[in-house]
Amino acid sequence: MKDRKRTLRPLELWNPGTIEKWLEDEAARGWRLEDCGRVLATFRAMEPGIYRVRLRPQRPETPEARRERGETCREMGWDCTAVITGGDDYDCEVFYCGDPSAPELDTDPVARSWAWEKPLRRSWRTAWAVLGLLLAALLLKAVLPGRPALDFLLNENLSRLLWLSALCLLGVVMLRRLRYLRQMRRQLAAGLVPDPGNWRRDRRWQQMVVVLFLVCWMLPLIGGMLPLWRAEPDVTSLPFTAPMDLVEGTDRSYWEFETDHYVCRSTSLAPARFGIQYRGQQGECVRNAADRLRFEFLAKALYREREKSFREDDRPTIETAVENAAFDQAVVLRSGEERLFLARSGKVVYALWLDFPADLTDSIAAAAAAMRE
Amino acid sequence: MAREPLKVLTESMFYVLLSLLRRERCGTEIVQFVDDTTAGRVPLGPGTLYTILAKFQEEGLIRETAVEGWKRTYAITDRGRALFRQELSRLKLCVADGDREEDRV
Repeated sequence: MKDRKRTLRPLELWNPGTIEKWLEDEAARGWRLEDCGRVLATFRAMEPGIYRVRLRPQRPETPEARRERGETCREMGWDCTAVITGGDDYDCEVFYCGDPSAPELDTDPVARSWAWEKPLRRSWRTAWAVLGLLLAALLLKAVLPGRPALDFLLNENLSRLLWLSALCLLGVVMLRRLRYLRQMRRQLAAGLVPDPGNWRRDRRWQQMVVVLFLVCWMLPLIGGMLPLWRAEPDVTSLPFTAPMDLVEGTDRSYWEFETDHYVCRSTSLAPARFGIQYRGQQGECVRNAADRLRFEFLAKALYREREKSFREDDRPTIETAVENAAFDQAVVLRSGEERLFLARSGKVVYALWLDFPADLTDSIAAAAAAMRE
Repeated sequence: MAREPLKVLTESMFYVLLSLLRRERCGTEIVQFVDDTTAGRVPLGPGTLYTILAKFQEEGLIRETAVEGWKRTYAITDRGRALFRQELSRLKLCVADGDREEDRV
């Protein structure tokens, strides 16, 4: 029989009754907590029996004072076997007592509330500060002009989404912590012992959160090594229109345009994304984007989003339908001097923006030919 | 609501101060004193004992006097004596009130 086992540690220490009950049940099965790091709790085998387990926040004291306290506790039947690392809160000592005649670790409810007072206050402040930061970030995101949600989804890949999920999860964890803290304050004020509640359900929730946090943290690292995330974008087959094709028949010269911005990437939802922007000497702008997406419904959504984005300012827009068998959807939108040619063929979405008058016939034909291929 | 700390002492706090009235004691001696004096009526757990000692030190009611190996001894301060007397007077009044009412019954 193995003499050690490891399991996920409790996430929050603000439900001490639940953790105590869990450790008492483990002790009855013959396992005593030996070490508790930031992720894992290590148990050592011992003689199964009925033990009382109590948690106490560790307070700052000299090593000598700690030793004296430990010796006195041991003399009185209470053995401190492990310290649970508290992370952002405080560390918590775990005491075991197998002697039914020994007095309780805490016999005075007022003294117990003193012991928990400082960490409780600190944790209360931390939880509000984290929630405040999350809220501020949300407000900032809402106020600042950002990219459309779909573009974010396609560009930022799963790692950003996982981080976003982790932040939401953090918010939920902080809200739960505040609930526990309030409950504990009430219990301490009333001189009650911590209520163990349903420790199995609580453990399941805590383990789920720890696993999700680990996934959010690890996946982007692992993701970089997997072909799904690492794949080079294949942009050669995507339609592309150079300014040279656009300026034919106008009074502008191709050589007047310079590459202003260039993007070429592959993400899990968009295996090939290509975008280029040219800027002319008079400030003219040509933007060319072509995206091959993983799913057709995403391509349709991207098409809709680009069309909506062009019409966004409620400016008068002239719409001209493009009839070409190569496209499932295609349109030319004009608003003042600005033009957008937008087309979709299956999972490929093509867009060409320009802010000066130009004949798009050749560009449309070229795009259709590329898409047919 | 929890009682206002150090305005009214709990039994454990009262006996910890009482144990230091005549002489300095270490943690185990305090527990022993409380157990002997109250004949086990007031249990004093180690968690409670060290929380009280730390709080009393913070409030200047007791002070650490000596460290021998891992043994640390504590002595009551003037402030601690004053608080003890104040609490004792309060308790005497409570007892007197109780006795008076009981006599009437």
